[in-house]
Amino acid sequence: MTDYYSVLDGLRADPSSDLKELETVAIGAQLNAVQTLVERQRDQGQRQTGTTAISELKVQSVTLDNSDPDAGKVPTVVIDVCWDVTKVDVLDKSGKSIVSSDRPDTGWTRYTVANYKYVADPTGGWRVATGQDLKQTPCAAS
Amino acid sequence: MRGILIRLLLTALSAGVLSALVQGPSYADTVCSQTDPATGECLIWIEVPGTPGTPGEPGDDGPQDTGSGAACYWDGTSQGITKPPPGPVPCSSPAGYWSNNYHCYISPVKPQPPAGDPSWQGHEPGDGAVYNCYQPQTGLLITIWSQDPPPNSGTGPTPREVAQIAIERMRLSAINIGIAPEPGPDSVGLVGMPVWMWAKDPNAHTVGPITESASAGGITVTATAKVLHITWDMGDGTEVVCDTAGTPYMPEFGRKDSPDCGHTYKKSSAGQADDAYTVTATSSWVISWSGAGQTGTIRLDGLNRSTQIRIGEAQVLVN
Repeated sequence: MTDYYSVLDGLRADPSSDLKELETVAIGAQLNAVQTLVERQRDQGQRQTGTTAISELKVQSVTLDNSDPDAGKVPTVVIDVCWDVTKVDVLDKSGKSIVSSDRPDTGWTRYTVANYKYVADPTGGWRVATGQDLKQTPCAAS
Repeated sequence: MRGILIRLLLTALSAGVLSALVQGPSYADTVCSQTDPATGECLIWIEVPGTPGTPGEPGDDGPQDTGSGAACYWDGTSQGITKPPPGPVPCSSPAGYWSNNYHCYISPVKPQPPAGDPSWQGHEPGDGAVYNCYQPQTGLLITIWSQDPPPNSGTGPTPREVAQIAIERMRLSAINIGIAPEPGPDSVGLVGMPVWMWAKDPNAHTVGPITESASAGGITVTATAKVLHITWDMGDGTEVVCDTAGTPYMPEFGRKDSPDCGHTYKKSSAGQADDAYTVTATSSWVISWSGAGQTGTIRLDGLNRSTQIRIGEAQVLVN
């Protein structure tokens, strides 16, 4: 998860960086969503400053069903992450922040990390496949 | 901090947009599944079942025929979006193929999300599939579950084809010929005397205007048809084009010319087949259609009806 945030932060900070790097940390719907987000931000001349921190991380479950990866029957690890974006800002072309004043600086997201190439690469093939917000008390900022 | 207005606008827009984005054949709701921490905006929208088990599933020759129109179209008005205005869109893009029903480009999520992900809407992998639905007009990307692939509007009917369904429902027909002298063996007109032509008992099916609608492939088209002109082939090599339905002849008109649709023969019909001129009236229809964010015109010619009239030389009758 650290790699995921690190890559995403880097791509959003540097408009010239190659979006293909996302494929090393995300896959499927998550990859598509973050690609679309970063492309749109770049089209609009937006860029990020600061980096995302992980305050807490809890592994919730592990599944090793690898019976049909392409269809979704794939080994997964479900991880709850409490992120902290206190130091993150997003600026428009003119350098003005576009971040809303009521943006929560911390929050929980439940990520599903999957390995669609488990047989070939059981350790290095893990990618963030999807995620959903968790409505629980935000963790303390790191 | 900043940009509250922008965020409020996006939030309001998104709520309205998304409720309509996935309407089409589905009754599911759309919710934000994952928020982008940095901006607080939604990163992944998904459909959740609204109704359990509901799968996801438009004087001159008149105006020119404008062709088929585009099968794939954007119309955000149902989502409260007027910019960009309704109009055609490419049927395919890097984001997939266009769906008129979903108002977005569709592509299957590859690889499919892991089992248990909310985007499966409670279904197991292998039961239907999860698709990306990307709307470039708004920049929105959502994931939808559908039992079968949403129809590719690029392979569906064009607005013209849907308009033609509407035209079939109009039951357009040729005019009933009104002509003086009357057709038939007991009536003979004279060379040099005026012939009157008109559409007898004109109605919406023979001269218009008539309006019908039809829907197919997510496209709804409304078409209005009316006769632009009637071309009368008089059988003597003359064509008379009348821009009106003509005026019915009455005996009190005597030897007057028709005010709007008439002819005068210069030779008798003797020697023609059955010693009569075959008179054919061909209607030229103009059908205006609108739908799928587009408008167009279809020209329809060829509905015709014939009759025979006899024309004799006056001196022959005198003798």
